Amino acid sequence: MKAAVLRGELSKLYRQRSTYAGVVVIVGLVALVAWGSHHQRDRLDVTQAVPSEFVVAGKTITALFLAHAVMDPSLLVLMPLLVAVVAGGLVAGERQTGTLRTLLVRPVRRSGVLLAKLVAGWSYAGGLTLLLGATALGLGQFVFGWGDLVILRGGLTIFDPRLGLIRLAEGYALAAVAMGVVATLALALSAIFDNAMTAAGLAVAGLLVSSVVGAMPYFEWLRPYLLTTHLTFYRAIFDATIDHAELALSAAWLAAWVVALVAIALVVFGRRDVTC
Amino acid sequence: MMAAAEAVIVTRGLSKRYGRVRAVDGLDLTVPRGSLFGFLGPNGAGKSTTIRMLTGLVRPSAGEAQVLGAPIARRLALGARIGALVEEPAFYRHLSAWQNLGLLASLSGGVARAQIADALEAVGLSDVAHRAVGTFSHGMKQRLGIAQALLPRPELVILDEPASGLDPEGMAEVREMLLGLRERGMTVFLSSHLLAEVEQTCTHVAVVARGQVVAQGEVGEVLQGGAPGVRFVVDDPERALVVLHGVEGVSAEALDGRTVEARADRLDAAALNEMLVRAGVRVSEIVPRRRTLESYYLEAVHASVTQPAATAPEPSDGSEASNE
Repeated sequence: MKAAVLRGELSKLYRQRSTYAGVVVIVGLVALVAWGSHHQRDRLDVTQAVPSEFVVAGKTITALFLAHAVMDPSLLVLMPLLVAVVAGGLVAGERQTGTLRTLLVRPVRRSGVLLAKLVAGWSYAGGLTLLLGATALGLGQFVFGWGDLVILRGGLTIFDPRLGLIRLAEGYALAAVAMGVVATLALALSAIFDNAMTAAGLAVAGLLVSSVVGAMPYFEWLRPYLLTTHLTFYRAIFDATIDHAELALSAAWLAAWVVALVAIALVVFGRRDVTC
Repeated sequence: MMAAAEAVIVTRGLSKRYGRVRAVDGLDLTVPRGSLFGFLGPNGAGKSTTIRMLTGLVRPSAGEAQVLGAPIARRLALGARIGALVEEPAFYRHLSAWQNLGLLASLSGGVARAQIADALEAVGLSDVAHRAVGTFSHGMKQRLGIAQALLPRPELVILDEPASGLDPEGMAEVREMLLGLRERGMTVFLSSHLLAEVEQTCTHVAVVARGQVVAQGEVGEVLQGGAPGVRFVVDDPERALVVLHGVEGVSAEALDGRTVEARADRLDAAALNEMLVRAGVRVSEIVPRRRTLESYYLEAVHASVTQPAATAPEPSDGSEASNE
């Protein structure tokens, strides 16, 4: 992959106004959650979820809490949608507008162009995920202040601020990887289909179908192989004791998915005639 | 056949099928170095598909093609030696003309800022260099398309309908620019429907019909070929035809109520005029008729249509027609 091709792809992506629609949505979502939490603090108080004999002293809703609380609602549907829309347009969008033709008559390898687009897609997916975390921490600090990270999942786990911040950084890093896999899926579909919205729509639809199938007992045997089973592997970071073997297995499955999707995209993109 | 060393594009039996449709069907083409080559043909004849194959956008189904001595499968080895504008110019709408040129030229090894400025100046877009391309008219995009094809400084420029959408002034500028490129030693291969423009600018032409080259040659030779003609405006066309038919080797026909046209391999207009006058026909006007590229084109295309359709393409599903 030529450096010029990568620079070109990043330049095209980040000079496009529509790329920042996702940023607005993410910042808006975090702001709404922070605002809502601030005004309904009593109902959101985590101490309501533990037995009455528990005494929880100090602040429970903190910047760290907000950064964790926005993860699942954003990363399960909203972020994949935003990432799929951008990544789905990276090839199909250029095919629709004819710029793919302008690009490919230059002396560039198609594989190089596709890999540059993949890196651009990853950068967007990763950047948006990290922006989610940074915005939540920033707004959370402004509204609630600093404090422990309180996790309510299968019990109550409390991390001190330092460890909580480390876990959040690790969790968001893994979430960024997961969104990168979503970008890979959308890009592969973008190489196959001529329409950007078709590629994005199919990517999101594929994830939803995979989630539904994974939730059905009948398809339990299929669950370990499904992409959606491993996309939420960042959750394991917030367990009191991290199961590194489980994390490694999910990472390996995600890597396998990426390799397969990139291979398919390279073959299709490399062989397809550019007729529009 | 031209020696390969003198040719920048050579195709032999080049073919492209889309399913059952033969878009290009055994195309043999030779484009001499330093020529300004006009590639002509009706809609759906296979011009754009040929250009797409030469520029690596489309894989041939069969046959061979060499560009600047390299097989098109190894086109990347040629680097920035080829510049191309394929069909409608397409650019990144949110980027300026300058940014588009910089981005595209960087993929061919990069250019100095002065070269981008020169290219924009050459196509008359200096004043709007930093405006987003999304605000450009079709003609402005066409000019920008030509500018990008000229960056960095290719040996061979392939242009698909370069004057499409331009106003008369723009077309004249493109014509001057093409002539200038040839003077600078570039070979220009262009497809066009504008036969008069091609006749004025090109040194060589090829006519493609039903996916095959049906005629090609130097423009000068092409225009000298065919039987020369002369038109007489007369008071009695019937008597004029009788006189002209009586001359050995001359064919004649009445074009309207006052005009007859005589054709012969060797035509002496003065002698024919003298015969007409002696026969009592009053001649008020004598107009020599020379062969035009349009007549050459139409003859070639019509001849291909009347030939046996052994290799004729099957009905198009529209995929090719939309590309032309």
